Amino acid sequence: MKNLSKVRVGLQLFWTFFRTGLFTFGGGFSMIPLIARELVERRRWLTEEEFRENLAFAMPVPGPVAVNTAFLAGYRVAGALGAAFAAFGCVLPSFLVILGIALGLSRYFGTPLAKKFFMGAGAAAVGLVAYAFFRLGRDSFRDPKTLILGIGALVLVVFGIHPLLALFFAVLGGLVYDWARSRAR
Amino acid sequence: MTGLGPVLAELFGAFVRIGLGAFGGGASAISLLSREVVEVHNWLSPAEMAEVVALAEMTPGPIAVNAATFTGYRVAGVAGAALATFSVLLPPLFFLSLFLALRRLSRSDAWARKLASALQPGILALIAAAVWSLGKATIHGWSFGFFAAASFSILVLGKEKVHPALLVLLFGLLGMAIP
Repeated sequence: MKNLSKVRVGLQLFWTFFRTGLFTFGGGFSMIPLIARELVERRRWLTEEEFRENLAFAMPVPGPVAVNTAFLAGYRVAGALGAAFAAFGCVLPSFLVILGIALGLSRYFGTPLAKKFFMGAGAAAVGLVAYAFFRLGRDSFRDPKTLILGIGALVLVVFGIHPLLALFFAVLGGLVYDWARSRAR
Repeated sequence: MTGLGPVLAELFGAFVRIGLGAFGGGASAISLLSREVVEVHNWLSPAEMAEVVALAEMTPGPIAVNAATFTGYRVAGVAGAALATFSVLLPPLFFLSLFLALRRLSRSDAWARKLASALQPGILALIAAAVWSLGKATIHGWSFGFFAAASFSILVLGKEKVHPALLVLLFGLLGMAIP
């Protein structure tokens, strides 16, 4: 009987995240308010406090914030099974939509009109990514540590170091920076 | 159909590495995508990569997941799409499980905040590199430079009241009008 209700909650989790996954365009942070409304206000699976705790926890983990939040919320509600159902439900819509586009539309991608569309759309996407940079960094651009390490990592990437390695060196550099500051004091 | 095995193995390795560095809402994944998918494996051209990012901004779901599905399909059909999508999510799911196990030992999440701030400079650098590589692939001429600047300004001034997906669609349509 207990297992049966767990599966039911699992399916509810799947459906909840399938819906939020389907209706949030552009991914990432735009999904967070919707997930919060669904989990905290509608379903009452988590308190506001628990949701915020989850979010702080999802940030230093690689991977899409939305999927991470779904996984953690699913775990809180129904353990490992809930986590699996929630993460799967969150990913499935984007998988199906992109697969549908790749199957049905990719033969039109090479046409001159589609090329022009993607030139314009791609340029706008550059603006979007630049805005993501601005929003994430605006509070820390004046911090010398962030500035030094960030520019250092950027130079590494531009000169052909693998981005993953550059990320690692930036974290390592931060440790060295803190150590040097504490020695100087 | 010989040789699908090695290709699937390469897809797996590439997207696990992409998943490992995809922090902060997907934007930092773009520089990893252009390294692995465009430069190392030549699965997509720079212009096609920009198309995938534009597509990802207009469709539901995280950019890293969208790009994984699309690239995987291009390289090895539906099986490739499923494998790449699974691979890009493997590192986050592994780390989340690890963190959940660690949280049993300590209730405090101070270390999570510390780790997030330690990663911040590197993530910013990766996003800046993404702006550069995407810009090189899409901004050919003044009008496209104007599109990029306009979409950035609208987001800054509009305080996100205009939906980003709508902006990408709108400038795509405008692009069709350019002779």
